[in-house]
Amino acid sequence: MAENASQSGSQNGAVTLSRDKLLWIYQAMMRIRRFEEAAEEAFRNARMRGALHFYIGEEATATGICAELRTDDYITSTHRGHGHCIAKGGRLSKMMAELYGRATGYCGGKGGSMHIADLDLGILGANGIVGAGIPIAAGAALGAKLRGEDRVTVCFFGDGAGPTGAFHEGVNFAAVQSLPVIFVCENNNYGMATTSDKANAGPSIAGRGVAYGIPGVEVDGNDVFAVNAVAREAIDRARSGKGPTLIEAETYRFKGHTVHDMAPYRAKQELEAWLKRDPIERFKRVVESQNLLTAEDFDRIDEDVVREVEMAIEFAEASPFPPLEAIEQGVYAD
Amino acid sequence: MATPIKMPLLGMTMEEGIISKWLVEEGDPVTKDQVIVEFETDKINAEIEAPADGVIGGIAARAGESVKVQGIVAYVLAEGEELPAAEPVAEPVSETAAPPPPVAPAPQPVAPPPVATPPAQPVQAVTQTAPATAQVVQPVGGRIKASPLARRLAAEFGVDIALLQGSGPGGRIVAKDVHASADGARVAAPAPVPVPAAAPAAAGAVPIAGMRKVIADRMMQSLSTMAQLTLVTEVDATRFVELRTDLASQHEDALGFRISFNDLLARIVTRALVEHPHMNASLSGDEIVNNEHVNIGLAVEVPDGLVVPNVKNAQNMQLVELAAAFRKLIGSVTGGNLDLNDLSGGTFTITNLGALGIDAFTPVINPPECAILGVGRIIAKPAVVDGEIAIRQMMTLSLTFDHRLNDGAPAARFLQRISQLIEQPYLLI
Amino acid sequence: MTTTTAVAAVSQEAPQERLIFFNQALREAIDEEMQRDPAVFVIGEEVGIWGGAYKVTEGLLEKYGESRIIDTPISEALIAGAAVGASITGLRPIAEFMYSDFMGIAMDQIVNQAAKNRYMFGGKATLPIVYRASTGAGIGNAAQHTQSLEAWFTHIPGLKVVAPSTPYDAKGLLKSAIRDNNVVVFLEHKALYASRGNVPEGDYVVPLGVSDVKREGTHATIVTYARQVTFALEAAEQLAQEGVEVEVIDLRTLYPMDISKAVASVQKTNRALVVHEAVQFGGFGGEIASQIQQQAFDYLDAPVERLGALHSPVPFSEPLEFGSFPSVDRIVDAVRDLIVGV
Repeated sequence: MAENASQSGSQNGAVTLSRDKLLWIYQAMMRIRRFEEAAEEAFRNARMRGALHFYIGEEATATGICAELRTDDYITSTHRGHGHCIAKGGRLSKMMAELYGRATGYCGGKGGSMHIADLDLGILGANGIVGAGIPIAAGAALGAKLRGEDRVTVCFFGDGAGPTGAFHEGVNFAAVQSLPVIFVCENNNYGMATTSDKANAGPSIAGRGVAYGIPGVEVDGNDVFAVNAVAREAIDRARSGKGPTLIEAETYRFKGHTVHDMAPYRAKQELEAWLKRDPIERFKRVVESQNLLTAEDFDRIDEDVVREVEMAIEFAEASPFPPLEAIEQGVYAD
Repeated sequence: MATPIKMPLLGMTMEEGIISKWLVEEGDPVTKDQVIVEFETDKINAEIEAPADGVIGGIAARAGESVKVQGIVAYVLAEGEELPAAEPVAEPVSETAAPPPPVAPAPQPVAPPPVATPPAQPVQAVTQTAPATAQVVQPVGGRIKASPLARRLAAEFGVDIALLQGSGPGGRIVAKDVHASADGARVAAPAPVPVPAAAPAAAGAVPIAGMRKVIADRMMQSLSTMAQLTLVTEVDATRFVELRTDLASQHEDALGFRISFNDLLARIVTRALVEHPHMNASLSGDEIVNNEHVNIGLAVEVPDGLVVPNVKNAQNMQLVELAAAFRKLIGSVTGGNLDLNDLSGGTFTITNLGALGIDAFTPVINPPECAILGVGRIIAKPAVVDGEIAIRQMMTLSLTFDHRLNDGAPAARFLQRISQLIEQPYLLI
Repeated sequence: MTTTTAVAAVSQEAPQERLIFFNQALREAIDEEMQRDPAVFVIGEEVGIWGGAYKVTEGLLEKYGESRIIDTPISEALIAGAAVGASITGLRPIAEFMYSDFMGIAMDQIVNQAAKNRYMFGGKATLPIVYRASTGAGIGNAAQHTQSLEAWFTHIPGLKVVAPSTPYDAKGLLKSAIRDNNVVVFLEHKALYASRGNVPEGDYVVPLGVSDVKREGTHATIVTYARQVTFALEAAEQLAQEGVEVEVIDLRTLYPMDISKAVASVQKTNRALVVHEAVQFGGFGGEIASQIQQQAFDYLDAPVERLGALHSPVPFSEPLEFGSFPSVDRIVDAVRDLIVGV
């Protein structure tokens, strides 16, 4: 069975993270939230197009994990990937420009919201195909192992990917090869309108670790401290050559599946209950109660983030669209 | 300037012609249109006429030798002129087609009056006259760039594609270029096959060179110069069928063939034409000429097209005579020895697509005639006879006529008369 | 009584226009066929509660229940393979892929299993499967949700491939596909779902393998299918202002392909432009062009021209996306080039 990691969280103990790390975590979560709020507003004002999948409500998972990653560690991401990208250090201006389809975006406007990558930051790419990142993560971890590097790979995926063949193939291979990879299932309970229990057999996804002989850990994905604690252990394990860990973070998307989806299939009470577990509010309550950060710290970061997001929007809107010649450029390597 | 005499293309499958007999020798003077050599192909025996006045020179193939289509057979030289040097194809020549080249400019529509001329028209006029001055721009010996359609049309019209200037992308010869060339040739020289009845018919074998082109030109001419419309009616041909069956068996031994529906129809139509001379007419200038004679033509399919031989003075013939005359003509068609006279001077045409399962259609008038009768199949159908449903042999007739000469009612009366004679063939007696 | 007859007579003479959306037309086809035949069922991702990503199956869960409108997990290979198993044992599955791009995950089941089962096992089983999928670009869905992959499927013996352009055709063709005893890949361009057209109520079919002349013309022929039919018709309308009459042939079914109307048209116009949204290189247009030149060679006054997408994945950025595949303007230009000098 999967171990339950909630005891590693904040409820039962004092937070031992450094002040810098706490500031970083708060900033990262706020960057995710404000970035997506701005993107949503731009979309509603018809200044950008495409399919936007918002991560709002799930910020603690990506942040808690990425707080323990080095810049040269890898992540693979999903269609709901803004949060992973930001938590791994992605620049808001280049991300926003990509959402706007501008030449200055991360992918020169060719990828859009669903396809952002920054190899310099170890962001191997968001993905439009559910579950497709799992074998890719196994491959990246294989690469690090073969090169004798101590980099780890974190593979983010959702509960929707649980039933895919790619999940089983990727996790099985990683376990067989004892690869330095951490599989992080962000279980927000919905693959579009399909609830996780309709898609995934068995009591949990973390529980599948047993089948592959790897640790499977369930964690409160809205508790950034709990996530961080689990991540630290899994990353240490991977980096020290002991193989993969499967983490299942229970969380919730506050928005619909895409910017178009008003989520009529969810009960209002369900959303309200989850809003009370807002990961940012919970973080603030904990650090304030333990006198780790002050209101001034929050205000300063809030202002910085707002300014940064405004600048990202300005940068994106001032950027040109790529020229038509770009269409056929970059299809092949030189 | 030396005018090359070329082996014409007579059909789509023709690749070469075999010289059978020279009627002139080197140095003989010839006049334009004089028959100078006979040749044969896989399908037909034919002749080549001198394309110009002059002296024969440079005979390139003797009797029994074969010449590729568009290959040079000989030249017509001006008095004292030398033969051209090798590679005659490279010579810029104004001739564009197998039919004789223009000597005197034929009456030809020239540029429209200069008043309020739309910009497109002068361009069009230039295009029309272009073939006369066309230069050879296609690479000699190299692949000529021409569209498949242009090649096919050129073959059908007997146009030498090597002499055309392509107006398509990259200088590709396209259909328009071939049409322009063929039009130029047609306007310049009258089509060699059928000639108006009024024209003196020159005896002699018919060069069916470029038959397709002739058909194409004449059909377009027909449709573009006449006001054609078609009347359709269904007739009860039961008695007509019975009569034909009787007649066929009665006369078979004596004639050596069975009288056909077409023979009987030709007799009926001839009778109706005598009674309705306005349908046996042609337009000559501003005058409607009612032809004295009924020269009744029958459209006959040949491997590469269609010919319409006609029986002269059909109005004087009994059925058996008429049938025998048609039999002889069709023999000439299949034997490849039709006389030009057989193809010219027709006054009315019957075209029968009944054997191919066609009922009604819109036949195109064979100019300068003013009407054509299309005959559909005979098929057993339920029909109402005296208030009862009976199985009758029904046939559809389609009469196309030129509204410039005749109005609907007189044309309808003519068709009505034909119908009557088919339904009650004893009225012929 | 008299009144009823009179009304019936009137409606027969001038049938009432009933404009419905493309996705509604598809829904009617599925609904009617499910009523007609209890062996028909729907399986796919979000076909039930969500009503299909493009709402094609909306309301059918309520009507037919979970046993015949089956929401699956995100498991494309399962969807394709379950359809194989269910069809072999007597059912008629309509399996939906949310995007044809996702069929990549199911290709083994579609190509190695569904398409080959009957032949490989000596004709034992019939596999009356319809694999439906949304296709196509134009709404900013980026590279993995926008492809036109029909050539993948037309290349596989054992598959039939359908790509309708109008609501009328969509309903009639889908009904034919459902009744067909073969594996039919039914490709629905996502930008067409919201298009409206006249669709009769009740049962009718459009047979597979019959192309359609969507507009008559004399100067050039456009042969196309799916959404590009609407572009071709718009282009034809523009060109008509210039006096250029374009004939538009909608293939409707890509396999079996009915090239006869295209050939007859080219015999008339002497010029052909093949258009599709898929990448031009290696695209299905090559097959169309090849058959036209084989069957109408002597009627061609210009090379058969092709217009397809540039050689790239579908880019996200709006100008790039619209620059990558044929547009009305590009079709107009291509026709103008085709008829140069005419």
